[in-house]
Amino acid sequence: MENNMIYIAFLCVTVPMLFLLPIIKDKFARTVVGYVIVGVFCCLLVSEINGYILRGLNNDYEYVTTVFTPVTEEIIKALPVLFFAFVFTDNREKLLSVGFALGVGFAILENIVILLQNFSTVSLIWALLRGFGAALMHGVCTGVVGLGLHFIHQKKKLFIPGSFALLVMSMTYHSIYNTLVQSQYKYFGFVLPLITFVILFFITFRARLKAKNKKIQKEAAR
Amino acid sequence: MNTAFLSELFLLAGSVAGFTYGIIVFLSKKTPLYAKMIAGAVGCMMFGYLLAVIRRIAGFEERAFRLDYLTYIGVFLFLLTANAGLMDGLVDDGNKRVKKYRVIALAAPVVIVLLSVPVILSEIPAVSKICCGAVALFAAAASYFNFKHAVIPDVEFGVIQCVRAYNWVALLYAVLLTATLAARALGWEIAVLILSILTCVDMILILPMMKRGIDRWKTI
Repeated sequence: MENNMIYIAFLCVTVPMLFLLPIIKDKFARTVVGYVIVGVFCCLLVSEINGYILRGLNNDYEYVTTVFTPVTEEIIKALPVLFFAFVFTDNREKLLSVGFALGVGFAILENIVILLQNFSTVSLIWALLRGFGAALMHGVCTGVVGLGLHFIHQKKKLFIPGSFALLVMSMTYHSIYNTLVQSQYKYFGFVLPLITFVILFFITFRARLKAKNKKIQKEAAR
Repeated sequence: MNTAFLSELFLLAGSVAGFTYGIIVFLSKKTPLYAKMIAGAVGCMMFGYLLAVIRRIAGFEERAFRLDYLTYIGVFLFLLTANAGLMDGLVDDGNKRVKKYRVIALAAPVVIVLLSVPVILSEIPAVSKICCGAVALFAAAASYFNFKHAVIPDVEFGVIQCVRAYNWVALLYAVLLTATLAARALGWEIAVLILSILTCVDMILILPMMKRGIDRWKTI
Protein backbone atom coordinates (compact mmCIF):
# COMPACT_ATOMS: atom_id res chain seq x y z
CA MET A 1 0.00 0.00 0.00
CA GLU A 2 2.81 2.36 0.98
CA ASN A 3 4.41 2.00 -2.45
CA ASN A 4 1.22 3.18 -4.09
CA MET A 5 0.80 6.11 -1.73
CA ILE A 6 2.62 8.57 -4.01
CA TYR A 7 0.35 7.62 -6.93
CA ILE A 8 -2.73 8.04 -4.75
CA ALA A 9 -1.50 11.45 -3.61
CA PHE A 10 -0.66 12.36 -7.20
CA LEU A 11 -4.20 11.58 -8.39
CA CYS A 12 -5.78 13.36 -5.42
CA VAL A 13 -3.87 16.54 -6.27
CA THR A 14 -3.88 16.58 -10.06
CA VAL A 15 -7.41 15.43 -10.95
CA PRO A 16 -9.20 18.38 -9.30
CA MET A 17 -6.70 20.78 -10.86
CA LEU A 18 -7.24 19.23 -14.29
CA PHE A 19 -10.94 20.04 -13.96
CA LEU A 20 -10.03 23.57 -12.97
CA LEU A 21 -7.99 24.18 -16.14
CA PRO A 22 -10.80 24.62 -18.72
CA ILE A 23 -12.73 26.87 -16.33
CA ILE A 24 -9.95 29.48 -16.08
CA LYS A 25 -10.58 32.22 -18.62
CA ASP A 26 -7.19 33.92 -18.74
CA LYS A 27 -4.77 32.01 -20.97
CA PHE A 28 -1.66 32.73 -18.93
CA ALA A 29 -3.36 31.90 -15.62
CA ARG A 30 -4.30 28.57 -17.21
CA THR A 31 -0.67 28.02 -18.20
CA VAL A 32 0.46 28.72 -14.63
CA VAL A 33 -2.00 26.21 -13.17
CA GLY A 34 -1.00 23.78 -15.91
CA TYR A 35 2.61 24.14 -14.85
CA VAL A 36 1.68 23.44 -11.22
CA ILE A 37 0.25 20.12 -12.47
CA VAL A 38 3.41 19.50 -14.50
CA GLY A 39 5.42 20.14 -11.31
CA VAL A 40 3.39 17.52 -9.45
CA PHE A 41 4.05 15.07 -12.28
CA CYS A 42 7.78 15.89 -12.21
CA CYS A 43 7.83 15.00 -8.52
CA LEU A 44 6.24 11.64 -9.27
CA LEU A 45 8.80 10.93 -11.97
CA VAL A 46 11.75 12.02 -9.86
CA SER A 47 10.63 9.90 -6.90
CA GLU A 48 11.03 6.81 -9.07
CA ILE A 49 14.46 7.87 -10.35
CA ASN A 50 15.68 8.78 -6.86
CA GLY A 51 14.41 5.44 -5.58
CA TYR A 52 16.64 3.64 -8.09
CA ILE A 53 19.64 5.77 -7.17
CA LEU A 54 19.07 5.20 -3.45
CA ARG A 55 18.92 1.44 -3.93
CA GLY A 56 21.97 1.55 -6.22
CA LEU A 57 23.99 3.36 -3.55
CA ASN A 58 23.02 0.95 -0.72
CA ASN A 59 20.46 3.33 0.79
CA ASP A 60 23.14 5.90 1.66
CA TYR A 61 20.48 8.52 2.36
CA GLU A 62 22.79 11.41 3.28
CA TYR A 63 24.98 11.00 0.17
CA VAL A 64 22.04 10.59 -2.19
CA THR A 65 19.96 13.49 -0.86
CA THR A 66 22.81 15.98 -0.68
CA VAL A 67 24.57 15.10 -3.93
CA PHE A 68 22.32 13.18 -6.33
CA THR A 69 18.73 14.27 -5.71
CA PRO A 70 19.51 17.97 -6.32
CA VAL A 71 20.88 16.95 -9.73
CA THR A 72 17.98 14.72 -10.77
CA GLU A 73 15.27 16.99 -9.38
CA GLU A 74 16.63 20.17 -10.94
CA ILE A 75 17.11 18.54 -14.35
CA ILE A 76 13.57 17.13 -14.41
CA LYS A 77 12.09 20.41 -13.15
CA ALA A 78 13.99 22.52 -15.66
CA LEU A 79 12.98 20.57 -18.76
CA PRO A 80 9.36 21.84 -18.98
CA VAL A 81 10.57 25.42 -18.33
CA LEU A 82 13.16 25.06 -21.09
CA PHE A 83 10.41 23.81 -23.37
CA PHE A 84 8.25 26.81 -22.48
CA ALA A 85 11.11 29.23 -23.13
CA PHE A 86 12.05 27.57 -26.38
CA VAL A 87 8.56 27.13 -27.83
CA PHE A 88 6.36 29.88 -26.38
CA THR A 89 7.98 33.00 -25.00
CA ASP A 90 11.12 34.52 -23.50
CA ASN A 91 9.11 37.05 -21.49
CA ARG A 92 10.87 37.60 -18.17
CA GLU A 93 7.77 37.71 -15.94
CA LYS A 94 6.09 34.77 -17.65
CA LEU A 95 9.16 32.56 -17.39
CA LEU A 96 9.59 33.42 -13.72
CA SER A 97 5.91 32.68 -13.01
CA VAL A 98 5.93 29.41 -14.92
CA GLY A 99 9.17 28.28 -13.28
CA PHE A 100 7.95 29.18 -9.82
CA ALA A 101 4.59 27.44 -10.42
CA LEU A 102 6.35 24.26 -11.49
CA GLY A 103 8.57 24.33 -8.39
CA VAL A 104 5.57 24.86 -6.13
CA GLY A 105 3.70 21.98 -7.80
CA PHE A 106 6.72 19.78 -7.21
CA ALA A 107 6.87 20.81 -3.56
CA ILE A 108 3.14 20.12 -3.03
CA LEU A 109 3.46 16.42 -3.86
CA GLU A 110 6.80 16.13 -2.07
CA ASN A 111 5.31 17.60 1.11
CA ILE A 112 2.28 15.31 0.93
CA VAL A 113 4.48 12.23 0.50
CA ILE A 114 6.73 13.20 3.41
CA LEU A 115 3.65 13.93 5.49
CA LEU A 116 2.25 10.46 4.76
CA GLN A 117 5.58 8.80 5.52
CA ASN A 118 5.93 10.58 8.88
CA PHE A 119 2.29 10.81 9.80
CA SER A 120 2.76 10.07 13.49
CA THR A 121 5.59 12.55 14.08
CA VAL A 122 4.59 15.66 12.12
CA SER A 123 3.45 18.86 13.82
CA LEU A 124 2.32 22.36 12.98
CA ILE A 125 5.91 23.58 13.22
CA TRP A 126 6.90 20.87 10.74
CA ALA A 127 4.19 22.05 8.36
CA LEU A 128 5.39 25.66 8.61
CA LEU A 129 9.01 24.69 8.09
CA ARG A 130 8.18 22.50 5.09
CA GLY A 131 5.90 25.17 3.68
CA PHE A 132 8.36 28.02 4.01
CA GLY A 133 11.47 25.92 3.45
CA ALA A 134 11.07 23.16 0.87
CA ALA A 135 8.18 24.72 -1.04
CA LEU A 136 9.97 28.04 -1.43
CA MET A 137 13.27 26.35 -2.23
CA HIS A 138 11.75 24.38 -5.12
CA GLY A 139 9.89 27.46 -6.34
CA VAL A 140 12.95 29.69 -6.11
CA CYS A 141 15.26 27.17 -7.85
CA THR A 142 13.02 26.67 -10.88
CA GLY A 143 11.93 30.32 -10.88
CA VAL A 144 15.54 31.49 -11.12
CA VAL A 145 16.17 29.06 -13.98
CA GLY A 146 13.15 30.61 -15.73
CA LEU A 147 14.41 34.12 -15.05
CA GLY A 148 17.88 33.24 -16.34
CA LEU A 149 16.42 31.70 -19.49
CA HIS A 150 14.96 35.08 -20.36
CA PHE A 151 18.50 36.46 -20.64
CA ILE A 152 20.14 33.58 -22.46
CA HIS A 153 17.25 33.13 -24.86
CA GLN A 154 18.32 36.38 -26.53
CA LYS A 155 21.05 34.58 -28.50
CA LYS A 156 20.90 31.05 -29.86
CA LYS A 157 24.58 30.51 -29.17
CA LEU A 158 24.01 31.05 -25.46
CA PHE A 159 21.12 28.67 -25.03
CA ILE A 160 22.82 25.31 -24.37
CA PRO A 161 25.84 26.39 -22.27
CA GLY A 162 23.78 29.07 -20.53
CA SER A 163 20.98 26.64 -19.64
CA PHE A 164 23.46 24.17 -18.23
CA ALA A 165 25.18 26.90 -16.21
CA LEU A 166 21.80 27.94 -14.75
CA LEU A 167 20.99 24.33 -13.96
CA VAL A 168 24.27 23.89 -12.12
CA MET A 169 23.54 26.99 -10.08
CA SER A 170 20.12 25.72 -9.03
CA MET A 171 21.52 22.24 -8.27
CA THR A 172 24.12 23.76 -5.96
CA TYR A 173 21.53 25.93 -4.22
CA HIS A 174 19.29 22.87 -3.77
CA SER A 175 22.21 20.88 -2.39
CA ILE A 176 23.03 23.67 0.10
CA TYR A 177 19.43 23.51 1.33
CA ASN A 178 19.40 19.70 1.59
CA THR A 179 22.74 19.70 3.40
CA LEU A 180 21.62 22.36 5.87
CA VAL A 181 18.29 20.71 6.73
CA GLN A 182 20.03 17.43 7.44
CA SER A 183 22.58 19.02 9.73
CA GLN A 184 22.27 20.51 13.19
CA TYR A 185 21.82 23.90 11.50
CA LYS A 186 18.51 22.97 9.88
CA TYR A 187 16.83 26.25 10.82
CA PHE A 188 19.32 28.11 8.61
CA GLY A 189 18.19 25.82 5.83
CA PHE A 190 14.61 26.96 6.23
CA VAL A 191 15.59 30.63 6.38
CA LEU A 192 17.74 30.45 3.21
CA PRO A 193 14.85 30.06 0.69
CA LEU A 194 12.88 32.72 2.52
CA ILE A 195 15.70 35.26 2.13
CA THR A 196 16.15 34.32 -1.53
CA PHE A 197 12.43 34.67 -2.12
CA VAL A 198 12.42 38.16 -0.59
CA ILE A 199 15.30 39.19 -2.90
CA LEU A 200 13.53 37.67 -5.92
CA PHE A 201 10.28 39.36 -4.94
CA PHE A 202 12.09 42.69 -4.55
CA ILE A 203 13.63 42.39 -8.03
CA THR A 204 10.27 41.50 -9.61
CA PHE A 205 8.42 44.19 -7.68
CA ARG A 206 10.98 46.81 -8.70
CA ALA A 207 10.75 45.79 -12.36
CA ARG A 208 6.93 45.96 -12.23
CA LEU A 209 7.02 49.35 -10.55
CA LYS A 210 9.42 50.70 -13.18
CA ALA A 211 7.25 49.38 -16.01
CA LYS A 212 4.17 50.94 -14.41
CA ASN A 213 5.89 54.32 -13.99
CA LYS A 214 7.04 54.24 -17.62
CA LYS A 215 3.48 53.55 -18.75
CA ILE A 216 2.14 56.43 -16.65
CA GLN A 217 4.81 58.78 -18.05
CA LYS A 218 3.98 57.75 -21.61
CA GLU A 219 0.28 58.35 -21.05
CA ALA A 220 0.99 61.72 -19.44
CA ALA A 221 3.18 62.71 -22.43
CA ARG A 222 0.28 61.99 -24.80
CA MET B 1 41.09 25.12 12.44
CA ASN B 2 42.86 23.05 9.77
CA THR B 3 44.41 24.49 6.61
CA ALA B 4 41.85 22.85 4.29
CA PHE B 5 38.99 24.56 6.11
CA LEU B 6 40.89 27.85 6.20
CA SER B 7 41.40 27.62 2.43
CA GLU B 8 37.69 27.05 1.87
CA LEU B 9 36.88 30.04 4.09
CA PHE B 10 39.18 32.27 2.02
CA LEU B 11 37.50 31.07 -1.18
CA LEU B 12 34.05 31.69 0.27
CA ALA B 13 35.01 35.15 1.52
CA GLY B 14 36.37 36.18 -1.89
CA SER B 15 33.35 34.89 -3.78
CA VAL B 16 30.83 36.45 -1.35
CA ALA B 17 32.60 39.82 -1.65
CA GLY B 18 32.67 39.52 -5.45
CA PHE B 19 29.05 38.46 -5.79
CA THR B 20 27.76 41.10 -3.36
CA TYR B 21 29.52 43.73 -5.48
CA GLY B 22 27.96 42.15 -8.57
CA ILE B 23 24.43 42.26 -7.15
CA ILE B 24 24.78 45.91 -6.15
CA VAL B 25 26.37 47.09 -9.38
CA PHE B 26 24.97 44.82 -12.10
CA LEU B 27 21.35 44.44 -10.98
CA SER B 28 20.12 47.24 -13.19
CA LYS B 29 18.41 46.40 -16.49
CA LYS B 30 20.83 48.60 -18.43
CA THR B 31 23.82 46.40 -17.60
CA PRO B 32 25.08 44.54 -20.69
CA LEU B 33 24.26 40.82 -20.79
CA TYR B 34 27.99 40.11 -20.97
CA ALA B 35 28.51 41.58 -17.50
CA LYS B 36 25.44 39.81 -16.13
CA MET B 37 26.91 36.50 -17.31
CA ILE B 38 30.16 37.20 -15.49
CA ALA B 39 28.20 38.13 -12.37
CA GLY B 40 26.39 34.77 -12.78
CA ALA B 41 29.77 33.03 -12.87
CA VAL B 42 30.82 34.71 -9.62
CA GLY B 43 27.45 33.73 -8.09
CA CYS B 44 28.08 30.14 -9.13
CA MET B 45 31.53 30.30 -7.47
CA MET B 46 29.91 31.56 -4.28
CA PHE B 47 27.33 28.77 -4.15
CA GLY B 48 30.01 26.14 -4.76
CA TYR B 49 32.31 27.41 -2.02
CA LEU B 50 29.35 27.90 0.34
CA LEU B 51 28.35 24.28 -0.18
CA ALA B 52 31.89 23.10 0.55
CA VAL B 53 32.05 25.13 3.78
CA ILE B 54 28.59 24.00 4.93
CA ARG B 55 29.43 20.35 4.30
CA ARG B 56 32.58 20.72 6.38
CA ILE B 57 30.83 22.60 9.22
CA ALA B 58 27.99 20.06 9.26
CA GLY B 59 30.59 17.30 9.53
CA PHE B 60 29.61 15.50 6.33
CA GLU B 61 32.10 12.99 5.03
CA GLU B 62 34.14 13.90 1.91
CA ARG B 63 33.17 11.71 -1.03
CA ALA B 64 34.77 11.00 -4.38
CA PHE B 65 31.97 12.70 -6.30
CA ARG B 66 31.16 16.17 -5.00
CA LEU B 67 28.72 18.68 -6.35
CA ASP B 68 31.43 21.38 -6.19
CA TYR B 69 32.94 19.91 -9.35
CA LEU B 70 29.71 20.60 -11.20
CA THR B 71 29.75 24.13 -9.79
CA TYR B 72 33.22 24.76 -11.21
CA ILE B 73 31.95 23.53 -14.58
CA GLY B 74 29.02 25.95 -14.19
CA VAL B 75 31.43 28.83 -13.54
CA PHE B 76 33.40 28.10 -16.69
CA LEU B 77 30.22 27.65 -18.70
CA PHE B 78 29.09 31.12 -17.65
CA LEU B 79 32.50 32.55 -18.62
CA LEU B 80 32.54 30.57 -21.86
CA THR B 81 28.98 31.62 -22.74
CA ALA B 82 29.86 35.27 -22.19
CA ASN B 83 33.12 35.26 -24.13
CA ALA B 84 32.39 32.75 -26.89
CA GLY B 85 28.70 33.53 -27.30
CA LEU B 86 28.58 37.28 -26.86
CA MET B 87 32.02 38.78 -27.39
CA ASP B 88 33.88 36.55 -29.84
CA GLY B 89 31.70 37.49 -32.80
CA LEU B 90 32.61 41.15 -32.29
CA VAL B 91 36.30 40.42 -31.91
CA ASP B 92 37.08 37.70 -34.39
CA ASP B 93 35.50 37.97 -37.81
CA GLY B 94 37.36 34.89 -39.07
CA ASN B 95 39.90 37.08 -40.89
CA LYS B 96 43.39 35.68 -41.55
CA ARG B 97 44.81 38.77 -39.86
CA VAL B 98 43.88 37.42 -36.41
CA LYS B 99 44.94 33.83 -37.08
CA LYS B 100 48.18 34.42 -35.18
CA TYR B 101 46.25 35.36 -32.04
CA ARG B 102 44.01 32.31 -32.35
CA VAL B 103 47.12 30.15 -32.28
CA ILE B 104 48.76 32.10 -29.42
CA ALA B 105 45.54 31.71 -27.38
CA LEU B 106 45.96 27.94 -27.50
CA ALA B 107 48.74 28.35 -24.93
CA ALA B 108 46.14 28.87 -22.18
CA PRO B 109 44.38 25.50 -22.60
CA VAL B 110 47.79 23.83 -22.88
CA VAL B 111 48.80 25.31 -19.49
CA ILE B 112 45.48 24.17 -17.96
CA VAL B 113 45.98 20.63 -19.29
CA LEU B 114 49.58 20.54 -18.03
CA LEU B 115 48.43 21.70 -14.59
CA SER B 116 45.90 18.85 -14.57
CA VAL B 117 48.48 16.14 -15.19
CA PRO B 118 49.37 15.78 -11.45
CA VAL B 119 45.68 15.07 -10.75
CA ILE B 120 45.76 12.11 -13.12
CA LEU B 121 49.02 10.87 -11.57
CA SER B 122 47.82 11.29 -7.98
CA GLU B 123 46.25 8.60 -5.83
CA ILE B 124 42.80 10.12 -5.50
CA PRO B 125 39.77 7.95 -6.47
CA ALA B 126 39.08 7.47 -10.17
CA VAL B 127 35.72 9.30 -9.90
CA SER B 128 37.50 12.39 -8.54
CA LYS B 129 40.05 12.20 -11.37
CA ILE B 130 37.26 12.10 -13.95
CA CYS B 131 35.53 15.06 -12.28
CA CYS B 132 38.77 17.08 -12.15
CA GLY B 133 39.36 16.17 -15.80
CA ALA B 134 35.91 17.48 -16.74
CA VAL B 135 36.55 20.71 -14.82
CA ALA B 136 39.90 21.11 -16.60
CA LEU B 137 38.21 20.60 -19.96
CA PHE B 138 35.75 23.45 -19.39
CA ALA B 139 38.45 25.60 -17.77
CA ALA B 140 40.61 25.07 -20.86
CA ALA B 141 37.77 26.07 -23.19
CA ALA B 142 36.98 29.22 -21.18
CA SER B 143 40.65 30.14 -20.78
CA TYR B 144 41.19 29.93 -24.55
CA PHE B 145 38.69 32.74 -25.13
CA ASN B 146 39.90 34.74 -22.12
CA PHE B 147 43.48 34.63 -23.38
CA LYS B 148 42.43 35.32 -26.95
CA HIS B 149 40.44 38.38 -25.90
CA ALA B 150 43.31 39.54 -23.71
CA VAL B 151 45.82 39.61 -26.57
CA ILE B 152 43.83 40.13 -29.75
CA PRO B 153 44.08 43.62 -31.30
CA ASP B 154 41.01 45.78 -31.35
CA VAL B 155 38.79 45.68 -34.41
CA GLU B 156 36.79 48.88 -34.89
CA PHE B 157 34.93 49.89 -31.80
CA GLY B 158 37.60 49.44 -29.14
CA VAL B 159 35.34 47.19 -27.10
CA ILE B 160 37.85 44.45 -26.47
CA GLN B 161 40.42 46.90 -25.15
CA CYS B 162 38.01 47.81 -22.35
CA VAL B 163 37.61 44.25 -21.13
CA ARG B 164 41.24 43.22 -21.52
CA ALA B 165 42.01 43.58 -17.78
CA TYR B 166 38.95 41.52 -16.90
CA ASN B 167 40.05 38.77 -19.30
CA TRP B 168 43.46 38.55 -17.64
CA VAL B 169 41.81 38.21 -14.22
CA ALA B 170 39.37 35.55 -15.47
CA LEU B 171 42.23 33.67 -17.10
CA LEU B 172 44.11 33.77 -13.81
CA TYR B 173 41.06 32.30 -12.05
CA ALA B 174 41.06 29.30 -14.43
CA VAL B 175 44.78 28.75 -13.85
CA LEU B 176 44.50 29.13 -10.06
CA LEU B 177 41.53 26.80 -9.78
CA THR B 178 43.21 24.08 -11.82
CA ALA B 179 46.39 24.48 -9.80
CA THR B 180 44.36 24.28 -6.57
CA LEU B 181 42.70 21.04 -7.69
CA ALA B 182 46.13 19.62 -8.53
CA ALA B 183 47.63 20.70 -5.20
CA ARG B 184 44.63 19.24 -3.36
CA ALA B 185 44.99 15.94 -5.20
CA LEU B 186 48.66 15.78 -4.23
CA GLY B 187 47.86 16.68 -0.62
CA TRP B 188 49.97 19.87 -0.58
CA GLU B 189 47.94 21.74 2.02
CA ILE B 190 50.13 24.85 2.25
CA ALA B 191 50.10 25.22 -1.54
CA VAL B 192 46.29 24.90 -1.47
CA LEU B 193 46.12 27.63 1.18
CA ILE B 194 48.37 30.02 -0.78
CA LEU B 195 46.47 29.35 -4.02
CA SER B 196 43.16 29.89 -2.20
CA ILE B 197 44.31 33.28 -0.91
CA LEU B 198 45.33 34.26 -4.45
CA THR B 199 41.99 32.97 -5.81
CA CYS B 200 40.18 34.98 -3.12
CA VAL B 201 41.88 38.19 -4.30
CA ASP B 202 41.23 37.26 -7.92
CA MET B 203 37.50 36.70 -7.30
CA ILE B 204 37.23 40.07 -5.58
CA LEU B 205 38.84 41.70 -8.62
CA ILE B 206 36.82 40.04 -11.42
CA LEU B 207 33.68 42.19 -11.26
CA PRO B 208 35.33 45.56 -10.46
CA MET B 209 37.56 44.97 -13.51
CA MET B 210 34.48 44.24 -15.56
CA LYS B 211 32.77 47.38 -14.22
CA ARG B 212 35.79 49.50 -15.13
CA GLY B 213 35.72 48.02 -18.62
CA ILE B 214 32.02 48.72 -19.04
CA ASP B 215 32.45 52.32 -17.88
CA ARG B 216 35.18 52.83 -20.49
CA TRP B 217 33.06 51.02 -23.05
CA LYS B 218 30.20 53.48 -22.52
CA THR B 219 32.44 56.48 -23.07
CA ILE B 220 33.73 55.20 -26.43
